[in-house]
Amino acid sequence: MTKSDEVQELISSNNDLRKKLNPANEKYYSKLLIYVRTAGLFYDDYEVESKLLEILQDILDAQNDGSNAEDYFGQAPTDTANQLTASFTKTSLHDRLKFFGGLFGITAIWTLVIQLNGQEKQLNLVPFILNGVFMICLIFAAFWLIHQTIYAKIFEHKAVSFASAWIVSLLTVLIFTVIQFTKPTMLNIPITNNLIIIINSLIIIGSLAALFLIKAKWRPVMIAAEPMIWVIALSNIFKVYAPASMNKTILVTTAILSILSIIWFFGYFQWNNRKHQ
Amino acid sequence: MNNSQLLKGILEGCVLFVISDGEVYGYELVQKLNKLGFTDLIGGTVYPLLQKLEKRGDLSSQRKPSLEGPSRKYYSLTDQGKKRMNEFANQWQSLELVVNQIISRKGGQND
Repeated sequence: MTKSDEVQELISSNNDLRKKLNPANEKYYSKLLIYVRTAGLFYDDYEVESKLLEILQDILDAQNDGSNAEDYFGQAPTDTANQLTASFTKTSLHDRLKFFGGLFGITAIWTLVIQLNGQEKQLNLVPFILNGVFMICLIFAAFWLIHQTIYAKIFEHKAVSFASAWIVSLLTVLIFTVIQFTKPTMLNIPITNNLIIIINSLIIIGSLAALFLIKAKWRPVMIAAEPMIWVIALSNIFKVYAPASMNKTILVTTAILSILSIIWFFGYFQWNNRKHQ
Repeated sequence: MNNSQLLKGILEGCVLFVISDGEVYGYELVQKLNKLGFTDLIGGTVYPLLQKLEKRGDLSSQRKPSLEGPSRKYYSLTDQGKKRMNEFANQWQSLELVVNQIISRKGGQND
């Protein structure tokens, strides 16, 4: 069993055991869990998940003995969590570079698919770099925001947390859109039809291969995103072969299938989350 | 006994002593310490301490199958931990002697 499989097993045990907590203890523990998991991106996953499961098992014991999570773990869970996270082993530089490389790789594929879908037969390097940098900033910002707000009373109001999620999502979409239009002409690389077909075919094959090669914890993201990648990549290939009269049909079909693939993306995530709750 | 900075230092040695009786998991350790007189002690104080002792090499841990669900993390004392436990006992006994002498002297003056 690899270390990644062991981490998955710990997470899965945690998800199962959490169901046995009473509502008050579940609320207390879930906040602690999120606070610890979002403390940083570069802590040893096994150590983090092992400690979280250990605490959960002990809180369950306390619950069975008639005590509650707050009595057992204390009224200052963040103090204890800060002490624990400060001592967690950090991941190696190699693992961090792999993480950044992976993120850059995924955003590069996405940027490539978007640029190949455009009318102009050329690629521009700037969105590749900016998308990668923005994606990394976005992930760090999301972790930081959740970590800072999980115990904030104001975010317990559904309206406040809903509004914040909307503002963050809108800002994200806005920045991503601006990046796609940031294309200084001197960094344009012209591409031929053959190259369009080769690149898109490789994207489809690569995304299929990634389903089997990717770490188990990232597989749901890949399964959710696959149809979106296929729809745009296939549409890019068809556009090269199809006569000009069919352009409108391809455009409409791509739009419909894109909407369906976005519905699949969010639907699959929701289904997957429910399965693990 | 109430929680204080002094208590935290002493607690470390006491944890080593309790674990020297046999391997324990977190909740079990808190229960044992509560019964031994650390009545206000909570899990939130014990986990960082266990983590510190394990990182320092005084304790080792192992996940063992549990009847009630997934495997459980049990802590046991290492050779280094035994050595540190004995050092703590010696230090405590000489400190206790000195502190008792000082207190009884002060007590004598008050009387």
